Amino acid sequence: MKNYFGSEKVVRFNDDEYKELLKLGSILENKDFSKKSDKRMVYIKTLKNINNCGGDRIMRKSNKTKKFAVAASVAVICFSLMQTSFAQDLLAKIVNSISLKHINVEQIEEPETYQIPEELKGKIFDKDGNPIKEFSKSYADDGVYTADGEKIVDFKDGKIITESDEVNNREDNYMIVKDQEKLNDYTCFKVILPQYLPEGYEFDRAEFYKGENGVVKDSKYIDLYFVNKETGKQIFMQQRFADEETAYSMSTGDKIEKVKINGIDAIISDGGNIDWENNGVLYSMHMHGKDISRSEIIKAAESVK
Amino acid sequence: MQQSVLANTLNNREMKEKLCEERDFEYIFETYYKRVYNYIYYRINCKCSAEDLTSQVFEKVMIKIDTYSEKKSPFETWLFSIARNIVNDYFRSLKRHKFFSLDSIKELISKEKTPEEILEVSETNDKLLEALQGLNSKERNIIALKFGGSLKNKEIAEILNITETNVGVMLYRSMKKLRAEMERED
Repeated sequence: MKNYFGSEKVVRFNDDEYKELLKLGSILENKDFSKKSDKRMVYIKTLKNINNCGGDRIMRKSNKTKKFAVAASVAVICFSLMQTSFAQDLLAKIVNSISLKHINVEQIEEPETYQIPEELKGKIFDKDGNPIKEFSKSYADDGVYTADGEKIVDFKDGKIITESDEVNNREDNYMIVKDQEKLNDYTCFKVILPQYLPEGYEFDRAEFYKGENGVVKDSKYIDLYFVNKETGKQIFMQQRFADEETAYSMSTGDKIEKVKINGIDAIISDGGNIDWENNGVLYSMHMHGKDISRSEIIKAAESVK
Repeated sequence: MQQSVLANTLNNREMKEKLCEERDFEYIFETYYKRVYNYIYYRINCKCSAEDLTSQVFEKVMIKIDTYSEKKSPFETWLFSIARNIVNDYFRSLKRHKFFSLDSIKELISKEKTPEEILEVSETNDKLLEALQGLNSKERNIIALKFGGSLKNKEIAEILNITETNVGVMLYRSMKKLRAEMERED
């Protein structure tokens, strides 16, 4: 008989319960989800990524592994800066690409509009309550809503995620720190806040992902939120300790551009994102607002020192 | 002339190294694909993302294979530590596009056209998968390591840096909760 739980001295259970759990255990053991996966495609894709690297092997590969890493935009719906989906990654035509040591940004071709999948038809509305038939960038400013007028923030596994779902998820998985002085207690690198922010914005909070152990210690990541209390708009910033694990890659359908901040290379993408690395830390700021100009973006980034 | 001979030798050596690497990769991939994929799927329950993350795990394994030391830990422990980090990072970044990216829609569209999509839908209705949603990430991870990754409690203990006894207790609680969730769904 199998004993999943180690010594019975530790966990005592009655016979029936034990049998039930063993039954469940054998169901779980026999589940093979991989049968439905496309193993060959995963193999080819992985091989391609491994071989696809010239001289600077480790770096380029580690960048590629973080396709999911950056897909953020704050205060507007993120229409163009996106995680490259699996199949798309094999097919998408890369128009332009800029790489820093641990950061890679690609500009790819993407269609103007997207059809809404069957299962979501009739469930998504614009801000005035009109049903949306296809997605385009024109919804970027006002957002999309459910039938009850709740703002939609994401789609996950075919389901709609609303703002309140997101709040619940955040409370479960993130630790929030409001005190600026304490930020460095949780990270393995020195967190530097911008000295300059566009008018009206101020530090609101930091968030740390708790992980499955629920503990935040020597984190390689910190998420920072700056809020304009009058407009409710946010500036999002993430700082990462730079290494192979935290290196990231992102792609966008919009223009990308290399700029200098304090003499260091940085990448502006999507008109409102700026990414750079300095002294072993990766910085990513997202300032999407009509009121924030390009020079303001650079000025804010330059004040992180 | 001499130069081209030299270049040839270099090329050959590179070729050989490459071939060698490919064989290693194939072996590792074939041996662990099912377990890695199932581990990830237990945690995230989405075919598209599970495929992508599985690919990332093997990519990282191949990049870091030179740094792996038998003396420090068994290979499986090392491999699943990588898998665990990649899934954690995925969750971390998911939240970053909470203002919703069009990409999630794109994924839906690309899935919609395939026969797998139909399977996928029936799969999400699966009682077990529904019940898994009721667990927190810690509970789900331990179930995933145990039954997706087919790891021994001792190996799980090493990966999570807790005692073996603790793994047993956590596993017991998580399975009990999972069973309760499954009954609740009825």
